[in-house]
Amino acid sequence: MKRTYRGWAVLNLVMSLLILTGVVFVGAKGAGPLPPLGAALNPGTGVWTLAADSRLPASSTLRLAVLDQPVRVTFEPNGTPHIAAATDHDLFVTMGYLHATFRLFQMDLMRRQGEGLLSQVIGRAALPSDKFELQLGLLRTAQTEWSQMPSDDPARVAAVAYTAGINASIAEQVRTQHLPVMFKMLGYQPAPWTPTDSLVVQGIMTQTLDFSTGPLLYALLVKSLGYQRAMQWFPILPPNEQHPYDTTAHAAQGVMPLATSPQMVSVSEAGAASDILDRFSSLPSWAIHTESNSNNWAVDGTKTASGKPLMAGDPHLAQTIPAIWYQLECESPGYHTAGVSIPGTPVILIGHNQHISWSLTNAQNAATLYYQEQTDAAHPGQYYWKGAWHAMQPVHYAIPVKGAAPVDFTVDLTVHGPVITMEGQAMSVWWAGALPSPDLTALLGINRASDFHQFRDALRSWHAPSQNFVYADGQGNIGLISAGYYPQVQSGQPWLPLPGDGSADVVGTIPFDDIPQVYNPPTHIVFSANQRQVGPDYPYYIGTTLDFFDPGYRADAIYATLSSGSHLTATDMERLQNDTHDYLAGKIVPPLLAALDGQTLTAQQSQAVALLRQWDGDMRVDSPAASIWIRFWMTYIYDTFSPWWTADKVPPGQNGSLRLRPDQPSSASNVLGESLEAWTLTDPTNSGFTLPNGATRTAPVVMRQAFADAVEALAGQLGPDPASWTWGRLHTREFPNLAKIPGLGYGPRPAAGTNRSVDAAGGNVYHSTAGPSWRFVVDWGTRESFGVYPGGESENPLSPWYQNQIAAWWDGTYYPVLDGAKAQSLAGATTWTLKP
Amino acid sequence: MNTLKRVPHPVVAALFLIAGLALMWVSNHVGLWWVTAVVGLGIGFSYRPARTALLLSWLVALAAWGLDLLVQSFSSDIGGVAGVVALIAGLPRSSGYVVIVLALVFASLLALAGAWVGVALRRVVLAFGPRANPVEMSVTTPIAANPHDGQASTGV
Repeated sequence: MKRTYRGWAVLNLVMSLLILTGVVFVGAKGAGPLPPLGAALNPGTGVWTLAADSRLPASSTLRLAVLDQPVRVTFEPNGTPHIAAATDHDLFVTMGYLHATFRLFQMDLMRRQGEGLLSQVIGRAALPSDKFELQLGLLRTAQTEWSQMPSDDPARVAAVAYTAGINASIAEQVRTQHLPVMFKMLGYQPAPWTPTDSLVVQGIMTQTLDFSTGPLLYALLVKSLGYQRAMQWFPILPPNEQHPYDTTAHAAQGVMPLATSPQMVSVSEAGAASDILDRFSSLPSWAIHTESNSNNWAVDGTKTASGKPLMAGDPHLAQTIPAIWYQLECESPGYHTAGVSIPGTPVILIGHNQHISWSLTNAQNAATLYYQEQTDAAHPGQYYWKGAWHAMQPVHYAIPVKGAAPVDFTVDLTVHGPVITMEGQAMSVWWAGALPSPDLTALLGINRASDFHQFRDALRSWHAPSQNFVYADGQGNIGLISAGYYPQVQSGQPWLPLPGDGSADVVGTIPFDDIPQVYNPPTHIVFSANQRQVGPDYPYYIGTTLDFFDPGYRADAIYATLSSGSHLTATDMERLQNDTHDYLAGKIVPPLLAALDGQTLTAQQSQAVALLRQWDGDMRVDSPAASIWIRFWMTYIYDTFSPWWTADKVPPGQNGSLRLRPDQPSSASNVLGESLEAWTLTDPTNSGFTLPNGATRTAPVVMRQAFADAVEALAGQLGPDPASWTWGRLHTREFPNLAKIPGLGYGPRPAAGTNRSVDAAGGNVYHSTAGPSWRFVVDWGTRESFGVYPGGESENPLSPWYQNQIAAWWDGTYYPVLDGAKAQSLAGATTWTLKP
Repeated sequence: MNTLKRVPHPVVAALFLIAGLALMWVSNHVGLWWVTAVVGLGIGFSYRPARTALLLSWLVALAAWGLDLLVQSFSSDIGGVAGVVALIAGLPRSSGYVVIVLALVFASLLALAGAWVGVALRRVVLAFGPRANPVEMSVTTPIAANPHDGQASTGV
C-alpha cells in the first residue's frame, strides 16, 4: 500500500515537472507561431517597454563611455537630431548611437537580409532569400572591402567609431531589456554590430538599385520572338524622343563597338534563364532592380530669382515605415553636413554642407552580366575557360534556421562570379556590385568637399551602384556626374547571356573622364530622372531600353519646366517635385482624340471623349480623365503587341515582368510603350501594328479599338457614368510596414500621380508603394534648404515620431533643414548631453 | 516532527504571499519571468490543502502580472502596446485585449504549474519521509479535509 502511494506521488511529481518544463520552455523559446511568451509578455521586460520607449527624448545628460569628449544632440520637435561633436570620432560614435537607439530592428533586418541570416529568426520561409544572398555574395564583398580598406582611410575610422556607438546602444538596450518589440516577439537579441555589417547594408542598397535580370529576360524574348523582333521592340537605344543630360561629344578610348549581329539563344540557355527567373520570383521585391527611380536637377543663377543655383533631389524608393532614411545634421571639426542617412551606415548620403549640395538618382546602366559556363560530366566541379578546365571554387555555408537544423549550402564560384543555376545550362552572374567599392570613402569625401573639383575627385572611387550625382554650390556652379562602373566586355552582346569561355569577359569599365557628366553646361540646367544620360553617338555600351533606362517622361517634364523657366525659386522646385502630370498623356491624348474624331461613338464613349478633351494631363485624385487615359494606354499597348505574345508564346518572366495585360503594366510593356509612342506620333503605319496573320493595322485603328475596350472595362469596374471614374477610385498609395505587418503602415488612401509623373507613384499601377522617399531642395541664394520624407525618425510604432512627417509629405510641404543653432531655438526642442 | 504537515499562521501565510507577489513583480522587472513559477512552487509546497495552494499561487501571479500592467497603464500606453502586438500577431489592433489576456493566462499557467510541482514535491517528501501517511499522499483527497490532518498539524 505504502509503495503504491509512493509511486503515485513520484508519478505526480514527474507529471508536474513535465508540465512546468513545457510551460517554461514555451515561455523561453516559444512554440510554433507563439513567441517566447515569458520573455515577450512579462510586465517588466516584455513588449510593454514599447510604451516607455515611445516617449520623446527629454533634455538630459546621458553617459556614453566610448566618447572622447561631451557631445550635444539637439532634437527638433519633429525628431530631427543635430549632433555637435568636438571630434570626428565622437560624431560617428553619436551617429551610430542615434541610429541604433531609433532604428535598431531595421538595421538588424537589413544586415540579416544581406548576410543570409533571415532564416535564423524567421524560419524556413526565408531560405530562398538567404540562399540567393549567399550566392550573390554581399557578405563576401563586404568582407573583402573591409580587408582592403587602409587603416588610415577616413571610412575605416568612421566605421569603427560608428560601430562603437551602435554597440553602446545595443548593450544599453540589452542591459535595460528595452530592445525594440520585434526582437521580443521573435525571441532573439541582436548580435554586436561590426563594420562589415555597415558594408553589407551598403551592399543591400547596391543590390536594390543595381542587380538586374535584363539579359535573362532578353534570352526569353529572343527565344520566343526571335532576335530581330526582340531587338526591334526592345532596342538598345530608345526609339522615342528623349532628353539626355550629357550631350557633349565623347571620344572612345579603346572600347568595344556596339555589336548587333544576330545571336541565337539555345533551349538550354532559355531553360537556365527560366529557372533563374522562377527562383527570383520568390525573392523579396527589393532583391532585384525592376523599376526606375528618382529625380534630381539643378539650375544655375541665370535661371533663378536669387542669381544663385537651386538644386533639388527626390530619390524614389520603396516607401516603408520606418523609412529608409534617417535625417540628421552632423557637426564636428571635419564635417558639417545636413541631410539623410541610411541607418547602418555612418554617412549622410544626400544633403549639403556649408559649400556644396548633392543628391542621387540611379544611373540604370547595365551592371549585371550573365555567363553560360561550359561544364561536362567528365569534369565534375569544373568549368571550361580560356582553353582549359578550371575547378569551381566552392564556398560552404551552414544557414541557421529557426526551429530546425542548419541547412548546408554551397556556392560555386567561377572567374565570372557565382553559379546561380545548373538547370539546362550552368550560368554564372557577373555583377558590378560584387566588386569592392569604397562608397563610404567616396561619400565621406563628398561630405567634406567644398567645390566641384573635390566633389568629382571623391567620386572617382565610386564603383557601384552607378548613380547620377547632381551638384550645386554657393559659388554658383552646377554639375552632374553619373559615377560608377560601366562594364565593357571583350566581345559579344552583353544584353544577352554571354559565353563563359573567356571570349566575352569583362575587360574594364568606361574611363572616369568618359562617363556621362557635365559641369556648368551652356543650357544652365542639369537633370536626371533615370533616362539614358547620353545620346546615340555615345561610343560605349551602357545598357538597353529593357536593361534598363526609364522611358524618359519624368526627364522630359523636368526639362520642359527648367529649360523654359526663369526667376525660379525654391517654391518652384517644390512644385515641380510634386507635379503629378503625366507627360506622355500630353503627347498621346491629342492623336487619340484625332483618331476618334468623326467616329460613331456610344454615349458613354462620347462622355469619355469630352472628359479627355477638357483634361490637362494631371493625374489628380478627382480626375476621371486620368482613369480613362491610364486604362487606354495599357490597353493600347496590349492590343498592339499581345497578338504576338500569344502567337510566339512569350513566357511571363520573373513576377510577370514580360507579361502583357490590359489592366497592368510590366517591365516589357513600359519599354514597348516607347516604340508605341514613337510609332503613334511619327509612324502610324509602322509594321509593328501588323498582326501575326499578316492583317495590317494602323495606329488610329488600334487606338479606337483600345479606347472602346478601355471604356467598356472601366464601365464594368466603376459603373456606367464616366464622370464618376475618378483616379482616386482606382489608385491608392500605401507606405507598408518594413516587416510587412498590416496595420503598422500608413494607408492605403487615394493618391494622385503615376509612375510617369515627376511625383512618381511606383509599384503596382493601382496601388503605389514606391516613390519619392525624400524630397530635398537647396536654395543657394538664401542658403536655405528644405526636406521631407514619408515617415518619421523612430521605428517605434507608438512614438509620435513614427510617421509624423507623412502628413507634410502628402500635402507637398517641407520642413526647413535647420542648423543646430536654429534647432536649439525652436520651441519644444530638447537636448541630450552625452558624456564619456 | 514533521513540519511539512503544519499549517502556517494566517499572518505568516499572508506575509509570505505578499513577499511572493513582490518577488514576482521585481523579478519580472529584471527579466526573470520564470520566478513566477518558482514562487508558485513555494506556495504549492508550503500551503495546504492543494486546492488552496493552487488557488493562492494563481491569485498571486494574476496580481503580480495584472497589477503591474494596470499600474503601468496609468503612465504608459499599455493598451497601445497590446494593439501593436496584436497587429504583429496578425490580429486586428482592436484585439489588443487578447494580448493582455494571454499574458495573464501565461502567468497563471506558470504559477499553477509551479504550484503543482510544489504540491507534488511535498507529497513525495512526505511519502518518503519518516512516518509517511498514505492518506496524506492522496492526490484526490484535500489535505485539510483529511481526518489525519489535525494529528499532523500538532506536529506528530
